[in-house]
Amino acid sequence: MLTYQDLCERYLDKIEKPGRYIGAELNSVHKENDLEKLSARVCLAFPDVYEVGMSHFGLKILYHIANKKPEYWAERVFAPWPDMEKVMKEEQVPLLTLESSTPLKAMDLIGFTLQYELSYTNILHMLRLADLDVWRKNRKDSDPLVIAGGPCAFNPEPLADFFDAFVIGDGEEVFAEILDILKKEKSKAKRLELFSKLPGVYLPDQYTVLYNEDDTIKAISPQKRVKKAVVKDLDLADYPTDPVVPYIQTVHDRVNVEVFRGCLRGCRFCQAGMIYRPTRERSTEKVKKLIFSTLATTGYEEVSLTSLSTADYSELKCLVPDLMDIFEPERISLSLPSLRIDSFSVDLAKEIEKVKKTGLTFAPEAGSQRLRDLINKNVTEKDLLDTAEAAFANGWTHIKLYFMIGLPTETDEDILAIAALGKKVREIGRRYTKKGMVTVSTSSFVPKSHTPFQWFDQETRDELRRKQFLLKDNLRGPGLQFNWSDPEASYLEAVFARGDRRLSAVIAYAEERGAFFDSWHEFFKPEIWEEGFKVFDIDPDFYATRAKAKEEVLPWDLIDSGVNKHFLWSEWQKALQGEITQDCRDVGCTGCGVCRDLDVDIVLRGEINK
Amino acid sequence: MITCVKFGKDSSAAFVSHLDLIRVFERAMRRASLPLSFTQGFSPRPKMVFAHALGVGITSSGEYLDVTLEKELPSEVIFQRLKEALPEHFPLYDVVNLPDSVTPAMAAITHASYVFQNQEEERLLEINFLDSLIYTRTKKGKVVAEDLKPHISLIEKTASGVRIIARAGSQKNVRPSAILSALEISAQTRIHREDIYIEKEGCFITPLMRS
Repeated sequence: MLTYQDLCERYLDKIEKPGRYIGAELNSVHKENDLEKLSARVCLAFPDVYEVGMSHFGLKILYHIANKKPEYWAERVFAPWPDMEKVMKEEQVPLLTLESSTPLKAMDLIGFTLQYELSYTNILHMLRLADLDVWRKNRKDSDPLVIAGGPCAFNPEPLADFFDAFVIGDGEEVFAEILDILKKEKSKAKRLELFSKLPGVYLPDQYTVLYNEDDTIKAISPQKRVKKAVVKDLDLADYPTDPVVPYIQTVHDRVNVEVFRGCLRGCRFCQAGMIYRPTRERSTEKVKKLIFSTLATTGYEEVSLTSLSTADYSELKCLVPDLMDIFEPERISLSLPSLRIDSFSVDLAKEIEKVKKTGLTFAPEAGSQRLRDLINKNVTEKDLLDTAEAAFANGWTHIKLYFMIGLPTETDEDILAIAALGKKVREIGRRYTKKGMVTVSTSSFVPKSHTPFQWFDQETRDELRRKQFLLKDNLRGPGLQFNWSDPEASYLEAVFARGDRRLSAVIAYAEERGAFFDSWHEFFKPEIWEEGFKVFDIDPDFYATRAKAKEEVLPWDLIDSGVNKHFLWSEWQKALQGEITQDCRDVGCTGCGVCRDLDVDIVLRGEINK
Repeated sequence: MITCVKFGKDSSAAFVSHLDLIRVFERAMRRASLPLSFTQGFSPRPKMVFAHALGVGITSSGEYLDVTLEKELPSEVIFQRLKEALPEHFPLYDVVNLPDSVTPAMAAITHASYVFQNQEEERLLEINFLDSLIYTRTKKGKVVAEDLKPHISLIEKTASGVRIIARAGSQKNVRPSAILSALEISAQTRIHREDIYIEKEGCFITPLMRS
């Protein structure tokens, strides 16, 4: 059998980036010579190209958890780029693992991560390239188990007929137990039976969905809900300090240390903010230890402190200067994604730019105060203008602002408010420098499961386009830039974000007819999808642009994120009233239910940053 | 002080492109705790220059880079630390400390030696008997023809394939793929760069021997 290396050598002139398939990167784990000692082999699959997949830290955590034990070997696989796929087909080579060029079929288990809805066709595509049937029921007992986890597993229903199991929630502890089951049990049925006893594991074939005549769900049986798995203390959770260092440039190629998981700000559009609750911080000591040991094993020149809102890390004020004292002479840059809109964040940015000048991006999300209150983004116009003032005063010349279009109850006035805000920020910039620049980026709002907006009818594509043009017309002028996203892609995302099992057939149909890399503009073919919905007589509007009733059974009701539906509904009602809900760290419990339901506590290590 | 490092690329390391190689070495030096010095500016880069870019897919046993360290260290110490830090398939051969006054390897080199391995070795050896070896390519929409023969210094059969020593560097550079293209050889060819040379008073020296 040919290996990736053979293929790269043979087709050097046809493969654009052979570096994607090297598989022998620094810190990659090879157990080719110890095959007889292995009791389980698994493949961690990211359904996108190498550069994207290798930027995902979850994959590196699971890789580490499996490989630190001598009896398990986890390898990686990514979606081959079309140039590689072509030569693999020519040579009749099935999809291979990166490390040892072993066919995926030889694995005990293949685990996919579900990071975004538009990667679903790539999953099917990869299974087919691996010579595996995409439908669970058609796979043989000797075929590997195919499972998935990640944020989109919180509504796994559109993929229900493809996977043997889904892992809902934090994967660290569950994955270790899954490996132990693979070691203990060799039959597929027994393995699945044991999986089903683990926290957070959902076996879709054990559930039946009944529908009403109007296509809504009548009932899901059994009524047993699957509670998400949760890691209580991040300090005790496994975390790799020797991650694989890619040769080719990836999207995020740096030391990543997650300073906390979960966010309690309660932005009502944000799925991550609901499904990863509650906030659990790592201690500063642990964070530092992880950073310095990772730097020693990787030689990285950049460190990123990651989380859903890093400026909220309670010990950041002390941590950043401590790190910069060491990083500055070593020319190691620090990056803090997701800055808040306040002067504290500008101070931080000022501190970290000693090594490398970076851009500043702020996310007011909505243009008017009314809408910001509705989405519970606790930011005022004054906050933003003061922050912009501080940034320009400190030497920045370019600020990026991020907004969503198509939020609930949005009117043209709200859209024009985005333009007005962009212009005000530019005027502040121009007072400091002639080069003052503002980039306004917008995306189309996609309502997600497990959020207060899960009942909301997404705006139509025509309306989204009209609003984009309205904004574009009002954002002309020197020092203003405008970016937007394709409403067509956001529409499809919305269909799958709140879809049900009946969509499996459409995904399989679209993939068979050439849909893949849907999240890549150059590959996205909406016409195939349109055709697929017609063939199966499915109205995609039913999922995307239809408002759902309070009593409606939602496809993901069987998944328990810990945040209860009553809380989400009351948040939805409060949103429509323009009432805000404060962070429970500041005002005490707001009743989302996660701590009680999952028997877990908020973990804070220091004072809250003001 | 300039530190000249001789290394190689074997097996899958051949697929690491020149741009990626810079990161490989910067990170290896950081892991080795070698005190890099940096350029000024908004995004400082380590002062590190490779002698001659190597095409993707070509293995080598003679690559060089000049690096300026912030603090002088004995070459044996640098060698030992770097050897431990380099990833698999990047063999380290030698480290030599040179005075600041040497011509940078990138500017100094004049020749490179390649070994070609394929089913058409006879045709490569025939270059010896040709008066000219015309390589044509399109450059900015125009067809440009060039005779490579005057730039080839040696063609000989070796145990591992056909060795060709040709001009390399900023003055005149013959890419191995140009030789194959001029002969219209499309068979799969393994190319290995044996070494890079500086022609000095009629002799070939390597960048390590600069003074």
